This record gives sequence, C-alpha cells and structure tokens, in this order.
Amino acid sequence: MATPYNGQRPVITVRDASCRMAPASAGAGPESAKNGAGFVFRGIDLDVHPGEVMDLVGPSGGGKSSLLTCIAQLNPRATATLTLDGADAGSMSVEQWRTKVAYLPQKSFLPGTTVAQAIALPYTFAALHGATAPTDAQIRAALDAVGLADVELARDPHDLSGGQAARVSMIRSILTAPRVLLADEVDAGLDDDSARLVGAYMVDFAHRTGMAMIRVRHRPPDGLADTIATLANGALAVRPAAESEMSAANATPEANVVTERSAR
Amino acid sequence: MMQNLLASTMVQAAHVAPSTAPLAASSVGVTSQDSYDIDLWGMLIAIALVAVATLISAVAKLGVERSLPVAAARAIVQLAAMGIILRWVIEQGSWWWVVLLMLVMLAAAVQITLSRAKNVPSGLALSIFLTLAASMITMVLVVVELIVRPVPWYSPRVILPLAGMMLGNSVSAVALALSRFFEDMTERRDEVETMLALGASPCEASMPSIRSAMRMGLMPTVASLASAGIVTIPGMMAGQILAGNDPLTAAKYQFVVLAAIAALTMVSDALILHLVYGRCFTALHQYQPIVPRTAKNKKK
Repeated sequence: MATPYNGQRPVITVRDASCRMAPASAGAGPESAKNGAGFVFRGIDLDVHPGEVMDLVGPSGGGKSSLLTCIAQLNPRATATLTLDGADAGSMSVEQWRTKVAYLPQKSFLPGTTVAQAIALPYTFAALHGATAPTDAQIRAALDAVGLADVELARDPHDLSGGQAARVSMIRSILTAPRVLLADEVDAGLDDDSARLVGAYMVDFAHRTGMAMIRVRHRPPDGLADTIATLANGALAVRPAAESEMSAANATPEANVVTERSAR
Repeated sequence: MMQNLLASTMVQAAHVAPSTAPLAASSVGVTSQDSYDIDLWGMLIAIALVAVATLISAVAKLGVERSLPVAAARAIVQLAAMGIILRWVIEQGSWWWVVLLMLVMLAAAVQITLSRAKNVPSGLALSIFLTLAASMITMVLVVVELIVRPVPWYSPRVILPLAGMMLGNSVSAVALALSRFFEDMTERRDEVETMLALGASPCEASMPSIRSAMRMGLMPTVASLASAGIVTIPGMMAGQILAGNDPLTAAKYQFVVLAAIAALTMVSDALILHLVYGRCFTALHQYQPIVPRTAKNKKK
C-alpha cells in the first residue's frame, strides 16, 4: 500500500466487497445481468487504519454511499468479508458491529422533543446496553465545537435547520465512540465556516481516539484527509492525500497511474 | 363486506330463530318468550327498502346502483345460509360440529383478512391463521367458559355467535394493523435505517410503527366502548332485546363482548405484528422494502 500505514494493523479490513444494482436500475436489460454486469462495484478490498481519515471520492452514482452502507452491514444488496480490530464480523451481532462501525446517513433523523433526547436515542437500544450516555456537559462542548453554541439542549429538534440537524446527528454518532465512522456527506448543507469546524472536530476526534474515518464529501478537499480512495467504474484505488493533491495541482496523468498501480 | 356479514350473521342467526329459550332466564318479568318472527311480507318490504336506496342512488348518480343490489342479494343468501347452518348445528348438539364450524369460520377469516389488508407482502397467511386461532381460543376459554359458563360447555347457541363476533373484530383489527404497519414502515424508511445504523435491532427499529399500528387498531374499540348505550344500541344488545331477552342481561352481554374485544384487539395486534415485523428485514437485520402482493395474486 502506498499509504503511510505500511505494516500497521488496520482497524477495519474489507475484502471482496460487492454490491448489486437496485432492481430498477439493473432493469436496463436482462443481458446485462447475464454478462456479470449489474454490479455497482465488485471485489473491492479496503483497509483503514487507526486515526486514518480517508476521503472517498468518485463520480456521483458510483456507489460511494453503497460502499459505506456495505461496510456497516446495512446494505441488503451488498456482501463483503469484514474484520474489525482483527475480529471477524461474524463473531459479533450485526447490532454490535454497527455500534462500532457507525454509518452516519446523509439525512438526519432526530426523534424526541429535545436535542438531548435525540442524542440519547442510541442508548435506548440493547446493543449499547452498559454504555454510558454522554453528559449534558459533553454534549454542550461538542455542540459548541461545531458552531452550534446557540442551540440549547432543550431545543425541539424539529426547529433546527438542515445544517444544524446534520451536525447534531454527527455529534450523536461520534459520541457513541465508534471504532470506525462512515460519514456520508455530513457537510453537504453547511456554509464554509461550519464545514471547517465540523471537519476539524471529526478529524481531531479520530486522531485523539484512534477512530478510523471514511468521509464522502462533495466539497473541495479540506486538507484534513490522510488518504484518498477513488471509486469509479466499480473499482477502488487508494492513495495518500498529499500525492493526490500534488497530482491534482499538476494534472499529471502519470501520477495517477503510478499510485493506482502501487495501491494494488 | 363479507367479513361484517360473517360476524353479524352469527349473531343475528342466533336470534332470528324464534321462540327458543333466551340466553339467560330472568324473573324480572321483562323477559318475553314471544319474539316476533318476520314473515314473507316483512322480507319483501325490506327488499323494497333496498330498491328505494338503489333508486335514489341512480337518480343522484352516486354510482352504487349496481353494487348495492348485488351486495344486498349476497347478504340475503349468506345470512340465510348461516341461519340454516347454525340452526342445524344447534339441533345436532354435538361438540365436534361446533369445532368444525369454528374451523371453517377461521379459514374464511384468514382469507378475508388477506383480502382486506392493503399493501402487505405475500406469505402472511400462516401468521394470520396463528393469530386468529390464538385469539379465538382465548376468547372461547375466557368469555364462554369463564364468564358465561354454558351447559354443556360447547353450547353452540353461546359459542358460535360469540366466536363470530370476536372473530369479525379480530379480522378488522388485524387487517387494519397490518396495513398500517407496513405503510408506516415504508414511510419511516430513512428513520428505520438511521436507527439500525445506530445499533437498533429490527424490533427496536420497528417499535414506533408497531405502536402506531396498535394505537390505530384500538381506536375504534375505545370509541365503541365510550359511545355504547348513549349514541348507539350495539347490534348484539339490540338483537337480544328483539329476541325477547331482559335488556339488562343484554347490556351485560354487550359489555362482556366489548371488553373482550378491547383485550382481543390488543392481543391479536401485538401477536400479528410481532410475527410479521421481521418481514421488513433481511437475515442480517438490514431494512428491505416490502414487495406488496400484486393485484394478480390478490385475485387468486
């Protein structure tokens, strides 16, 4: 791997991840299924290391969200062989897996009548039994850090704007202290300043706790990623972020070829 | 339509049979042994009433002038059939005819529930059968053997009308709960997926929809409990009074039935929803959108 993580044990390993197309889009022609097509992606391998921040990029509709939900075992059309900290995914319940490999969806769902209740939702599930819910002070600090100092814990979540709700949803997931966070366009609806705060908060959390993170973003690179994974035409290529930024600046096609080869 | 008839048929048929002993004798003196049979003229007048309604529908272009007479004709045939069968079973007076008729009612109830529940996946018949059978057995044990205590224990005159009423209500409740549950799960898709992503089990992620479906299922029962005796004289009570029973006895029976329906609605809703909620998930506890039974399947 041409990443700064040679020799380190990954937090999560993904092997032979494949995702079939949704029936509607696969219905383009029955022969496409016969030819072995009908897959969004197929045979993808991926390692993410402690504290690593990986940006997942690629054309829209290329399966970035499907790959994230596949890793969280949430995608009924996807299969993969997964390990977390060396333990096979089959050695724990899928609910336990999802509390440790947390998928953060694009759409925010905040039930209850207060922000504090919405954040406490996962602690009502049996899978998080025994985990201590964050204190009000911890929630307050997290909200302040991402530019939500004006959002009271007693605020009705329905009154939040889309961007505020997205940040509350992100805080809820990250405060459960997962080993891996799969963040699907958290900063899509945010202004530049808020997006910067959110990015810094999440990356700081990853570096402090050793949480691995895969981000799908549709914003210009914020310079916080350690590695860039490109998902295009059903295949994945990983390269160090510094290299990709250089290649983007120089627009040298050779650089891409080299890193893709070395990534294999 | 048929399902309502099934329930009401059981009740009415029991009371149409004239001049038979009432459910409970009373010495108050309001009990009358002479109930009034309806003669041929009475039936013809009733049919004329349907004709009047049909005429009004035709004049006002309501569009029910075809379905109304057809439904009325079905009602006559079905009610008459049920009346004849019930009379015959009561005459036989053996427990296995009672059990057999209840099994037939149960099978019909499963079919009716399936046809009434909208936008539900296929393959629910077994779950519905188990639910209705369990609620029917519970009903027979509690209401008939514990509350009414007829002699003999299988007295068809007691068991069959009560079983019919209960079953009719369970069918409505289960069909409503199923429709509402799957509709709600489809609407809540994003929510369910978020809850799963946060570590919720399928049961935990389904719970808001289960609650919503059960709440909706119980609402008609609460309404009928609250309005009984003020706004309406419920069908069973009316039937018993018409058949010459003490109105107070009729009132007690009616309350027992309403109370049992409230409990049964809850029990059968809880049972059916716990049997079927897993249909919205894969073996790996992933949300999968349900595929409603197609119109073709429904016609079969």
